[in-house]
Amino acid sequence: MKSRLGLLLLLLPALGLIAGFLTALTSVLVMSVVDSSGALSLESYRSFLGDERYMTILLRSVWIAFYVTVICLVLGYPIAIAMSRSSRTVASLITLALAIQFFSIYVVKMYGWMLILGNNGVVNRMLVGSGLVSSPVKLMYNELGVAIGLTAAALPLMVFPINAVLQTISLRYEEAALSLGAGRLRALLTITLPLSVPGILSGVILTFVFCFAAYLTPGLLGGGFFKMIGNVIYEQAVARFNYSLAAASAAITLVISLFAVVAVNKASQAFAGGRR
Amino acid sequence: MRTGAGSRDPLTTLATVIAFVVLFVATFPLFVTAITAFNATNETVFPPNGWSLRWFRNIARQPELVQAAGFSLVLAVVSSAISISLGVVSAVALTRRKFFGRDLIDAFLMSPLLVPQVILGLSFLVFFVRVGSRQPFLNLLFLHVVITFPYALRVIRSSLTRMNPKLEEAAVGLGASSLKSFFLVTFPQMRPSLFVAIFFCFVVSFDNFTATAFLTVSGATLPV
Repeated sequence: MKSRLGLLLLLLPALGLIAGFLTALTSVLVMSVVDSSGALSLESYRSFLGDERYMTILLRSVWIAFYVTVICLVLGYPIAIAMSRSSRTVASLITLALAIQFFSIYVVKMYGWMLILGNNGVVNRMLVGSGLVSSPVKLMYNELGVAIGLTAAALPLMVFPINAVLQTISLRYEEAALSLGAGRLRALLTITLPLSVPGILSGVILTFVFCFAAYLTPGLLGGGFFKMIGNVIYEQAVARFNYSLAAASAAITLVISLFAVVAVNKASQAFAGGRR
Repeated sequence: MRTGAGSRDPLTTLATVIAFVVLFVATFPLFVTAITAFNATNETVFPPNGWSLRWFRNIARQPELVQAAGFSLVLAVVSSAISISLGVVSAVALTRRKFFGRDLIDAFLMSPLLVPQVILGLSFLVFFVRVGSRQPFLNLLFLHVVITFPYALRVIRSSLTRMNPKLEEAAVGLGASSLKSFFLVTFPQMRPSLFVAIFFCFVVSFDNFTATAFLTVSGATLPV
């Protein structure tokens, strides 16, 4: 009995902390279903779902998060392959580059992209300077800029989990396929790729949720011209003090994120079941 | 034997080339920002029109920025210290004792990671407005501990799982109290993971913009 009590005492502070956080989260969810007088009301959901602007922003956030996740997977998978298979020096160089990317201050990173994509930025100066275009191309304050920024910011979230799984897959399987006459590409696609699906799925979850609820990237690279759902939540809460609408948007965002997590988990279980 | 088959494989070479190109492009903005800081003119262009340290002198002359940097630093240090102490204690409880509902408690403790930052920020804003707490530092500290704690727990927990519990049992078997065996046997083995955890917590706190922006008037911490 003594050890039970000790255990409870050890866990108590952390449990209290997280309980405090969940209380705060619940207070938002509660706020989304009551009106100003405190009565139960779905008014805030009605004004969110009934407003075409908010619906456009919500759907666009899902769509952009979806295709940025696909791009991150396409770019990230080769990086994870290179990380797990090349010589130690090359692998640590890649890890270092990813770590710099991951740990660098987010605001600074996005500011760097603004310097590159702006009308007077690196890319446009090169394009105009070389005579390819006569006036600067619009690369930011639009969807393109936001998508580029999100891809760069989310890439490590995709690569790290895939690499973690690839490290555990023995190359012998592919060697066996090769010795049985399969080509390298076929061995990769039919042996390694299916085995690495659990890593791909966790990368997909992290990337999707990160992009879907992004606030800073669309804030800076969208510059108010291209908003995502995170910007709506912030604006309503901090600039307009419309807490109930912000709470309803947050609840919808949370439900979609959790739905994505559950859907991917189910897919991963179905996949594991299919292999057995 | 991992590299033996892979290194001369044309596909791996191709993957490595892709990796270098993509990572070069992704890291490029950071170099641009760093170099632009030494720009001599008011126009922010790259490559700069001239070189100077004037922007750094400028920072030193702006008391708000210096103050914000100090505030960020104190916040990151204090919140990391709290998260790590909580992380050590909880990780020991979660790994050294078997009990009913352990996985549930683990998932519960990791839950802040699943909630998007904007929603975290909004939750705390609404919560503090409702409670009427007007202590900016304490409010932010609570938020930052919640954000950093799951990282601390995950890192410390995984190092404890990899340790050999027999060593502790041996210490206890030889007559050490469980507290003594923790400090003499477990803690020294945990030390590398503590540094990793400190690094994670510090960076996560110092860098946090999204959730923090909800709780502050512009400019309280450095990123904001």
